Amino acid sequence: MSAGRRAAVTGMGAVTPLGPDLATSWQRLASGDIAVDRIQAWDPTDFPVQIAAEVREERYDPGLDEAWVDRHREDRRIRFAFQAAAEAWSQAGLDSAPPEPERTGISVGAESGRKQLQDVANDYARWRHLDTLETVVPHLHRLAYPRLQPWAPTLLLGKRWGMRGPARTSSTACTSGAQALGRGLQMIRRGDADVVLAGGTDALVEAFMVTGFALIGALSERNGDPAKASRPFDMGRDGFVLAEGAGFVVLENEEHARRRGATVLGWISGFGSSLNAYRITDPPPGGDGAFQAIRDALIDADVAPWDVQYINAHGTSTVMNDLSETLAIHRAFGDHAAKLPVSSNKGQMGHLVAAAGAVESIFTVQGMLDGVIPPTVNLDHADPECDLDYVPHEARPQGVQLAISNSFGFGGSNATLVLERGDG
Amino acid sequence: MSYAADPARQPVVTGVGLITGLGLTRDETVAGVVADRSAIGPVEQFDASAFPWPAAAEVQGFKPRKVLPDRKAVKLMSPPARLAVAAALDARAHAGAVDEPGVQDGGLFIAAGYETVDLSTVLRMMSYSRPDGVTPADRDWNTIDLPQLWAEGRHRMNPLSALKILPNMATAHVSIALGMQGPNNSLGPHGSSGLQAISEAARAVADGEAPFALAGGTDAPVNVFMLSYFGVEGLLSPTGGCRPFAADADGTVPGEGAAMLWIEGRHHARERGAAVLATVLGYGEAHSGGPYGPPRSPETYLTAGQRALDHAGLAARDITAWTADGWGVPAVDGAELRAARELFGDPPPRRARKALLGHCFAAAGAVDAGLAALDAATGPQLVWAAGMDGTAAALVLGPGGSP
Repeated sequence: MSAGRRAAVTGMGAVTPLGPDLATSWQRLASGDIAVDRIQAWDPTDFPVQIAAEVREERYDPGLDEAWVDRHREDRRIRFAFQAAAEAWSQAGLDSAPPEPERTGISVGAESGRKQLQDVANDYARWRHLDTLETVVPHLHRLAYPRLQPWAPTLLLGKRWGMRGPARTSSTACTSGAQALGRGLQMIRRGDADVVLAGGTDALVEAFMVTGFALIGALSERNGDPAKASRPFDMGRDGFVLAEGAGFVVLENEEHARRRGATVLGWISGFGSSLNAYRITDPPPGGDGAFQAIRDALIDADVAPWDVQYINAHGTSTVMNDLSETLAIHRAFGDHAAKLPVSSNKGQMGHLVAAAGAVESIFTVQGMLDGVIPPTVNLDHADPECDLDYVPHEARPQGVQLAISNSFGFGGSNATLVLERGDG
Repeated sequence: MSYAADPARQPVVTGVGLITGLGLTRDETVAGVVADRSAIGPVEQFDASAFPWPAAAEVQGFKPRKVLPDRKAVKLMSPPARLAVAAALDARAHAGAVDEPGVQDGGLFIAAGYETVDLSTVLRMMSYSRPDGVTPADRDWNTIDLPQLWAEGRHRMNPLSALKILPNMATAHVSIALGMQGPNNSLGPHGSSGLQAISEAARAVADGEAPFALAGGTDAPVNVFMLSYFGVEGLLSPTGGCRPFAADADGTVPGEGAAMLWIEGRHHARERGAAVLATVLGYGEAHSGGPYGPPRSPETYLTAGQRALDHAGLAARDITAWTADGWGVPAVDGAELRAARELFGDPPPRRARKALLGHCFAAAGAVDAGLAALDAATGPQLVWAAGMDGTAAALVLGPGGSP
């Protein structure tokens, strides 16, 4: 493929339920550890869903001490984003030699703030309670508005690392993280930036979201056995497990990376996005939209289906997703599908929603570097209709040069990234 | 022209859909703009008399169940999603693309506003969290009883209504109503995101990812929270008028609306015999690095504008008209004016649509671009927009040329 169409990955960072950094998260992922547990952040008693994959250990980023950023410290998705981005930035070697601000972009996948709904409730209470706005204004939480905004992480990360180039916030539900990496690839490819900080962040283990997703019937209710709750492609799967965290990468123009002697960990070489145009919740039978995203990503990367050696699946552990994703893979890969290892990280760390596509792409790149395919845990009784090689239970040592990562989401949005092994 | 290496894929605009405070269609909106009629008046959809900023440009008389194809879906749609579908239908009709055979290959890029975080849903969920289930008007709401939230909510909520609050729902509903399944994005809601959406659509067409794409923005920012937060930030006019660049300007006014542009490759438009309204010539954007709020110094506007001209391969003197962002906030207008003087020297004739339509936030850039596209026959136009997120964007549109 033509070199100018790829973006080099020169730094990666992650905060996940499995660990406060990429090294820990990846090591635990490859070991088959599971981070799903009873919710601790608030009391889930009486809720039908009492389990989630929470981030319980964080690292501190000094950027949070900066003036006016400091006030956003209590926003979990901001903290996660800062930690993951700091790790990526540092690994890329940009701490000591920052790139030219005008040629540096940022691309973030994020949804609206979650926990901050409490702030809105507080403001509303004040507004209703008092007679005139003059008495209310001093009490309004001035950060409640930006905190609710999907773009708050974009703004704050741009401040932290001094980007002056293109800035994009993508909010496509469960595909936001993959969208952000895809848009980052396009910024590099089109010459709009030499360096792009791209990733996703989310923090939605929160009562409103649990209520909402539980009402749809999307969440696993296996409260008695949290570690077994998320079971992609298994007969006994009954929904996904909500999770939280962030993943960020430094994407770079190849020439720029080579010139400064950066290590290329991997490549993003293709991106495809599609819409089901079918229903808000369910995918269409036959996996149409998912197939289209996979096909378009391969075309975008200029690779053939048989060049793909591993699929990091969306694999949410819902009945519908896992079935339609399997059908889409069959359609996109034909006979090659039977020889293709496919695994989902969600059995171990749940669904990071707006961060999922970013974190799972990072794991895919790390796996290629280490020659390890992470497993699909809890696959005890394979669904006969899900008939691919899902790498059950244990990681598999296997060299992979080229992989794809799938993300599919509510609202019928689909995104696939084509990833290649770097030099390590 | 640097959009497409292949001139056949040069992105052009063949349809514009508008629903604004001036009217429910493109034609009504344009008639209002031509007549210089303002849509700004006292807020009607709730009692805003307690606010020092009680004005808005509200969409009047919109009956979603009459306009939208799936009446049953309306109750699952937030106000911005409803406006987005209405504008999308208007744009498709204008483009003469109702029977577009390859509609499934089309792209869709929408910037959708804050009210997509549907206030009524949130408040209803809060009401379930109260032991007595009373309405928000009668109680303070800062105490949320979590077990009660579930105990009540599961019986009383439409399960799908929780999905109204996802920001990509406008994109989802437009795709279901019109049938596009191609490349897409839902962009974070802020003042420049409407132009960002248009730029992504133009790129998708120019790069051959989609034969056509619908792009724009939608917002319904007239609610208690927007009035509170923007008012507290000092951005809203206490006198209830948006007067960009005027000596007595004292703030902006929120506006409801949606704008969608039907964008396709020049060859694709010619093949199907569509009239070309405008050519998308160039786009640029920049990030201020904060702080939160619209630009108060010229650099971000200027960088975005210069990048758009560079991308279009034009000099500033080639621009024949300039649609200003023109918030009506003196410090922001001052920053834009300094940027314009720096960029143009002697700036070309200026339009400032927010004076009539209010600030439609996520839709603002798309509304301005839609009106500029309808007026592009006279020569290249520059449209500027900036957001609360520290970004600014600039779009250059030129005459349509032969179809």
